[in-house]
Amino acid sequence: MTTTGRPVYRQLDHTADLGLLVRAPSAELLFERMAAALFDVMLADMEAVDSAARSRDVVVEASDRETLLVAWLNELIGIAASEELVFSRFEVTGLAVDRLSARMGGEPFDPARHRYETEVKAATYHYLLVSEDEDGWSGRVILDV
Amino acid sequence: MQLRIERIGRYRWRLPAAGSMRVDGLIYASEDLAQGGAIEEPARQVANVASLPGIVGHAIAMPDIHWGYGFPIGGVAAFDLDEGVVSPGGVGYDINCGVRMLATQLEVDQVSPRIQDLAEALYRRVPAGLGSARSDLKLSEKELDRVLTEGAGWASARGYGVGDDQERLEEHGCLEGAVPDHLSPRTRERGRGQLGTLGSGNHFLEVQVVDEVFDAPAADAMGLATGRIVVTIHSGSRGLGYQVCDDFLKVMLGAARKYGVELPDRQLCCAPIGSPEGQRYLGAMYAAANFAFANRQLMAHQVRLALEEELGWPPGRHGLSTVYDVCHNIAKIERRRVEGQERELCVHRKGATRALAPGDPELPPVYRDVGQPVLIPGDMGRYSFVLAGRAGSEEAFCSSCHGAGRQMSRSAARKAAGKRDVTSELASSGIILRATGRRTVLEEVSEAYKDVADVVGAVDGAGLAGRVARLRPLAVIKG
Repeated sequence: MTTTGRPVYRQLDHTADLGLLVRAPSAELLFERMAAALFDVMLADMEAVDSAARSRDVVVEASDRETLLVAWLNELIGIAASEELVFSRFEVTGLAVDRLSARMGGEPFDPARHRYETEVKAATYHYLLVSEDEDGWSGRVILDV
Repeated sequence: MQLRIERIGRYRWRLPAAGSMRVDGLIYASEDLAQGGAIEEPARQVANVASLPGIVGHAIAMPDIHWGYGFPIGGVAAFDLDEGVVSPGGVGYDINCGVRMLATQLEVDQVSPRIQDLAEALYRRVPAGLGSARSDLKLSEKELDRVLTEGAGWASARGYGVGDDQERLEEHGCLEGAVPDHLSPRTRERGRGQLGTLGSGNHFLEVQVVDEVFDAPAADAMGLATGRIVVTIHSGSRGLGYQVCDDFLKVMLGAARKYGVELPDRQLCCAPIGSPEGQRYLGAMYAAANFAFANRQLMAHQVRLALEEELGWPPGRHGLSTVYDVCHNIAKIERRRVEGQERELCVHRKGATRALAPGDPELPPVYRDVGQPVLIPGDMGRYSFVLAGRAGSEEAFCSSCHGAGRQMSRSAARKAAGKRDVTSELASSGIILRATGRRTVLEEVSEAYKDVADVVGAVDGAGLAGRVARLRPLAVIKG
């Protein structure tokens, strides 16, 4: 499973912040699409990010699937902010209730080709949802922007 | 749980303790601000805060209250040091986001003809915008540690600043007890290049003119007079603060479970103040707060340089002085009176400002008689206010509002602003806007915010702080 480029997702309106709503047929795809949605929000054009230039692996742990989603998104925000890397390709290589491993494809932020559009401070735990129903998986997370 | 909201005064609404609430909620708001059910969702958050262990007095909300997560934005909550908890959500991601205001002796007639030059100079000197960083101030690990422990003092010791005593800064621009070691390496990475930068969103640097004075003695003490130019900086701890908050929310989720704290909302996660987790957070949060104090100090220094170098006005001409520097996202140990008794409490203010009354021993001599300056920024198209703390703020742990409060989501604001040329609109009202991003500008249009005059009116009416002066923007720098 891999998600590259802009995913399908909805944005939730909140007074001070921004919510992401994503549906996916599997939990892995849900996590991938959430990550892609995050970068779509952060960057003016996330598809301008060359996903083949650099590869980065991460492992994230949390106490449950929902907080795992927040940990995953905040890990991505942290890497982008501290290492100035941006990503457009996300592959979840392992997913348990409390642990996620993933490989991201992207490149160093280049002001000539990339532009940040929204400063995302963090993914929050508010209105957090990761759930499965007969049609697939739903995810909802509020980003502090 | 159905919430009962009772009006108990012209500007006071009570949420009687019910269900898991340990104390009543107290919301300051005017009739207008409370209408249309605007108060109900934030009231629910106030009720949630009221259920936290060791909370003292009331769970409080200011008139600029708006929906946040966990704690509402515009909230104040104080906790007993032994029984109570400390909560990163009660401070916010932007630790020590706050306001520094500088007064000058310049008159609007002197500055208006040169406002473009001044706006340009400030725009060039103060990096703003998403991911803004300074390459000229890359700090070593050791130097960063000093920033984190000394705050504004670090900057002024190196000659950065306006030359005032630290006494005109809340907590003298430094929270004692910062522990840089509690910061993760990533936190330090995020902060290292961002010292001296404005950030984006609702942060700004504004050149303003005092257009009305309501309290002459207080204005006089603060160096404010009608027609005088003021410069205001609104910014916080940048990515360093956000990372501290996120790191510790993770820690506190585990801590809340460990110490058996029931959370109506994960974002309220917390730990007992005296616990290792609680102490670690306080040490890290104070470090981030000090970073923000140093940040505002560095930007104030750039304001001074812009006036002296690009505009060619020496200190004798510009007369720059610090009015005050306030935090509006913070938690700290303060000595406050509750039911007639003085107690040490951990006071959380998220989108709220300390407002010490006249006579408070923590005030510098110049403000002892008039009260603490409370700096309340409005939206970029209207006005801002300076208030002074009043005795009535004691009920709110010596707190007041922090700003206008949003009333429209960012996407709704962008939609409402449409294809409007906001820069030209502001220019035709005599306001120069220099912004790095168009999208942020659309999200920051006046309609997206409550009218700060209403918020300030409610705070004044409730006796928390009194209006001293109103300021109108002349130039706005935004990221």
